[in-house]
Amino acid sequence: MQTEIVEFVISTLLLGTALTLLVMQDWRWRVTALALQYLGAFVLVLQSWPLELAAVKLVAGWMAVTVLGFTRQGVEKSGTKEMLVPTGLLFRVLSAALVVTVVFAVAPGLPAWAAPISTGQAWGGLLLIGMGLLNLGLSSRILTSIFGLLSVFSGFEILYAAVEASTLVAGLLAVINLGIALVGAYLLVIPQMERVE
Amino acid sequence: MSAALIWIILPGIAGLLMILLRNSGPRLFLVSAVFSLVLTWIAWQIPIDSAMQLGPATLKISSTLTILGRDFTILDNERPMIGLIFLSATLWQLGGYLARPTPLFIGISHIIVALLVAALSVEPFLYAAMLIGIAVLVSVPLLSSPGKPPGAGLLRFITFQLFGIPFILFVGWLLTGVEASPGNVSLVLRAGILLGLGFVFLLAVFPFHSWIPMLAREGHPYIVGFLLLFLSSVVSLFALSFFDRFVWLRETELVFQLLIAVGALVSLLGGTWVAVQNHLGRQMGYAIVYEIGLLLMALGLAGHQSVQLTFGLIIARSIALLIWAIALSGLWQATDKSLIIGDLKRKATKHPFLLSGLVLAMFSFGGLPLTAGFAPKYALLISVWVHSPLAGAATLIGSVGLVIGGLRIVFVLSSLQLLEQTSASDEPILQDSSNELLSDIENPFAWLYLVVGGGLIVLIGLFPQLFFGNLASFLSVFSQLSP
Repeated sequence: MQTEIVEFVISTLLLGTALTLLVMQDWRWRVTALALQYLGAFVLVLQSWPLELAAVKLVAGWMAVTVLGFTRQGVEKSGTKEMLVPTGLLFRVLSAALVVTVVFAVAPGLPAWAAPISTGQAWGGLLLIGMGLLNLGLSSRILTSIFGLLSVFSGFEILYAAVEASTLVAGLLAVINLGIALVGAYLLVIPQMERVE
Repeated sequence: MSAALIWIILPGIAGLLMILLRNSGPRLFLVSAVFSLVLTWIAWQIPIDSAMQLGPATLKISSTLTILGRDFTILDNERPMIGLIFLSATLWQLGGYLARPTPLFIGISHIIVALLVAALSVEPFLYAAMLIGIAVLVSVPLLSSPGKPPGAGLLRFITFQLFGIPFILFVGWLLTGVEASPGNVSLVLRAGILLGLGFVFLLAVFPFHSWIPMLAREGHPYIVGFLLLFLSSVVSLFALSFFDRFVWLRETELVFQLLIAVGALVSLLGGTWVAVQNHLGRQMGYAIVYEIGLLLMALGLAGHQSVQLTFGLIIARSIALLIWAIALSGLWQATDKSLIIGDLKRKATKHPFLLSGLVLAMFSFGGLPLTAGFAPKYALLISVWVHSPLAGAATLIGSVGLVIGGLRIVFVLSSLQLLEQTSASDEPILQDSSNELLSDIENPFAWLYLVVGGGLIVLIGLFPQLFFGNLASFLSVFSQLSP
């Protein structure tokens, strides 16, 4: 019963963070949401992995968030501002509702398909994958795409943690998460770097 | 000393050092090529897991290195494959001296090769997908220029390549269940679908190929050529290891039929697109799409034939793509990075050698007789035709598309006005050390390019048995696929 309550709270948290990443335009809210998303993912991974291994995901995730947050702050100072698209808001919310509906329909069946995955993990994992894909599909901006990619990988890692508990996998996936964040940071600053011939 | 130390850690460290020394000038390309050549020589000459007497000391390269509880293993029978990878890296680093991509290329290319060798040697082998993903991330600084916003193709490249990782990793978990109960059809079907999706992303199979021509248009042609060659080659070897390790996959006839059908479609589309492109970079991109189709068909032929044809295609493609990418790099500078076919007419008088090399490379890709690509492509076409004449015809049409693409360049060459004065504002091409503006005729490097590069394509075309005769040595890498 206690586990179910925790899973419900975490799933709600993940839904909130995913919606924030999709709908909010202010990068500060989105970076905060991503940090909270990693916390939620950590709790779900903790159901399958020991604390010290699961902590790798949390630390790597928060490092990724820090890299992106600091870089975005620097980019903003130099004058680049993301465009607001208010007309797309309703479309985004409706798309998110569609993804949530699909996840509601699919998630309960996943544990039957892959036994070690719990319903809470299935819900959280599929939700992050779906919302991440939506982020990737709806925007070609760098920061949004990187947030989308990180969400997809967070979702996948929740599901994969249930079936595989290897230290090397944890390490390599942490490297990939950090790599995505570093690539995102690099692509954010490169238009402002001086060309060296 | 372990094999992984020599062919993974050492090139990785060398790559990092070369990034630090990237401003040392173009000679670093030559140093880098010599380093890769030494690693090629070691792979060729020194056995693994056997003691060798070197004067008073005894040298033994052990096959396995354990990191975080997982093994990186390079066996003695894999030396030809490792040697081929480093020989190809040597040629591309040597070619970098002519093509002059960003100085970061020298170091990062070593790191990418090290990561890809790690991908081929890691146990469990499914973790390779993650190492390929890291190689993709490492390549990003090569594909974006300071002062310019990154192109849409780059973001798509990162996204699609990384999407392959989750599918492959999940397959790894599913396969343990499939091996325990191979009769479970639904489990086999799930594993098959996930495996297919993983490789569709990793190999950029239609319709997830769109990043290739986009990247080829946005990026430096030499860097794009290098990445596309190494990524697609290593992923196809990774795919071969699936067939080598899983009996159920080898015994599912539908998989092979599907591979041939999809491969034929991809090669047909790739070749046709080459014929109609007006941008030389996109032509190269679609030619790679065509080659990916051929690789899929080679995989679909099953058994030892698939191993030999895969390696044959990789060898021919390494050389032709190198010649192609060097030519495009020169023309890229000459046409102020436009690479539009219409812009070539103005430059053709000054750079006939580059255009000739470009045409030869395209003909080799198309599998024209007397070129390097002919022998493996002819062998593939004959084998595919036996399985499915329709797939064979599609491949042939794709090949014709590439030849038409080459003929369009020949048309530009034939319209040369040799007496035309070249503009004083022309950009330098294949510069010598003194940075003088030189036409191909005056440029010794252009002569070298045409004689060595073009000569190599023709030489392999004339004497294919010299270069492809030893393909059987690669069979031992995939022992279960050998006769």
